[in-house]
Amino acid sequence: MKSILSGLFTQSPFNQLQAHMAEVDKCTNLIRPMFNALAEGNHDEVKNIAKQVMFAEHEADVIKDKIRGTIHDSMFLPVDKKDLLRQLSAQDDIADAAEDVAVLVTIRHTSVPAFLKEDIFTYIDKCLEATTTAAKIVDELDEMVESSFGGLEARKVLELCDRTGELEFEADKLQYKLGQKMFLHEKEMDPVDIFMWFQLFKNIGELADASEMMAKRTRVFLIPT
Amino acid sequence: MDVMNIAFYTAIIVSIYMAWNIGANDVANAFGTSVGSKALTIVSAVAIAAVFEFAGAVLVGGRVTETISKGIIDIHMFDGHEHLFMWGMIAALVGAAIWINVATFFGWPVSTTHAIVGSVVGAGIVSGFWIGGNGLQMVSWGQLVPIVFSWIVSPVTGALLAFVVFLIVQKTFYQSNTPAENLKKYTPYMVFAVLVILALSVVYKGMKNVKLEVSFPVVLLVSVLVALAGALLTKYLVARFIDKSQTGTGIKTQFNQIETVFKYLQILTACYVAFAHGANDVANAVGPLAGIISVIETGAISAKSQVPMWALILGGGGIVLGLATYGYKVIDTIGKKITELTPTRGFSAEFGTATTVLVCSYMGLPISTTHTLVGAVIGVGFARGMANINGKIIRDILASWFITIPLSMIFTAIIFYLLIALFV
Repeated sequence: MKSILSGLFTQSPFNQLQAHMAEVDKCTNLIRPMFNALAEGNHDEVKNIAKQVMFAEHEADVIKDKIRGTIHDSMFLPVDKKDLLRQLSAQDDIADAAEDVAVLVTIRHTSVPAFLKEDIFTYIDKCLEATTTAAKIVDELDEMVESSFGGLEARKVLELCDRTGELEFEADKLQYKLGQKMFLHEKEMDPVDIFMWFQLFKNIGELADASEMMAKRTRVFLIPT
Repeated sequence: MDVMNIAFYTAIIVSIYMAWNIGANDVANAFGTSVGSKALTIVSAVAIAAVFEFAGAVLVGGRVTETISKGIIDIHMFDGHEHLFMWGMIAALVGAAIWINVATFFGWPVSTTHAIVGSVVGAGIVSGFWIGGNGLQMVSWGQLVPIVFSWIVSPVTGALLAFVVFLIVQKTFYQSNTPAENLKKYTPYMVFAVLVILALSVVYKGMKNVKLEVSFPVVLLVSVLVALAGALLTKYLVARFIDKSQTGTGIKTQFNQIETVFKYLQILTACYVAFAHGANDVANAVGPLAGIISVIETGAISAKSQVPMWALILGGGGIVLGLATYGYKVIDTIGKKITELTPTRGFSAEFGTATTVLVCSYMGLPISTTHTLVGAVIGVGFARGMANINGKIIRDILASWFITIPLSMIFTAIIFYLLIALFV
């Protein structure tokens, strides 16, 4: 005999979103070690880590497709299905940004100029702080479901969302200063290095941008009271 | 053995079998989640369920029984054909039981209530043709309208009640600024409310059935006193629990405290469901039996005869038997598999279910407890309380309505013709 209740529930898509974000988090957590290796000139290690980023990005894609395949019309969700799918693709954009950085770092042996090194790492860390905050937001999804997306929990998540926005803004400012500093020393640098770093700054910034966008998607779920 | 004895014992055996079916599956739904959250062990869950099921069946069960046995078929058409009626009821029991077994084998969400109503209608139609008239005239179609209507209304009512209860839980605890403080403050009131309703329904209707006339003010007083005692005890226990477990005031800790408190409140609503279920569903097993008994005892089908107490006890016992021999298995699976129905969700859904089922029982409407529970869970979902509900189940339930009734009618008709050929 089977109980009618067992047919009533399907796997929670919010837990699946969290599983997806875990893979995204793997990608972004590899960014810092990848640049550490680049600064040391250890290009084999850079390549090795970049491969891991691409692998994790692919894993995230697999989970993404699986979630898209299971969301159907006869599901009752506490949030709009479209919003849920937007949240998913916003999470995926973070992994894509990480992959873009990994591609750029491995496509050419770019050197890290000594006078910029410290600023570059400050900038990277700021952008990664935004991705970590995004991961924290997704981590709260089960509590959000539990509290029906309202109350204290909603306010807590709202703060995290605001924080992601602030971090993105701070990262933007750092990126601007970083560019300024680089072009001040443009005569001392290899022109191709300059081109590469200019691209890299933009792509690293994408990590913070994508995190902020994701936070905006999560915000739609909340009903703060 | 004469024909009457054969009829009598067959009826009893099939009734017990129906009751077994009811006990094996339906009740388990309410207690499974309590076992899953470790608020109850499986043995104590089965024991508590058995007590409340039995109490519900014996104390309140009579009303719906009469509707099934006599309301659906126009009994005056049977004047002079009382034996036909008796065999018809036996065929109805066998037909419904066979269909339920087939359905549960395939895992379809059918309702024992709908099966027995379909079967009784089938028996009525066959009798009509046998007597030599229009079979369709045997069935009181007018009587069926409120019954069928209630099948639709009961899940909706369950959903509505569960929605409201969950909204209250949500606003009072999950979405407040001080969940732990509110637990201390408001839990006693919730216990009071549940206990008053439970005690009122046990005492008010129940005492009449066991031939103890108590006036309503006395009943009310007793219920309020019981509920008050429960509320005071809750106040003390919750306060002690919150103060002792003050390991942190983070949101997560407070959410865990809410679920822990509701783990125990859910036992209360599970008892409430068991009681309501016993009251409503025992009729599916003893309804036709009651008709048979009145033919055997008086030789006539009397419209007003009481359902004998021993028949209700037999039905209640059968349900308990089903619980003890198979229900524990269902409880075990649900407890492990259905983690979605957390204590606060379970509390709301079960409260909505039990209240709906009990009200329908008092009105003499045979409704499906399981379908009402599904409706209630969806109601919690509408309050944004569930992560994901599979809407396909609604389609399955609708399909089972359209399949159960005709098929149990057909099964009954075949068996009825066989019995007529053999005994009439």
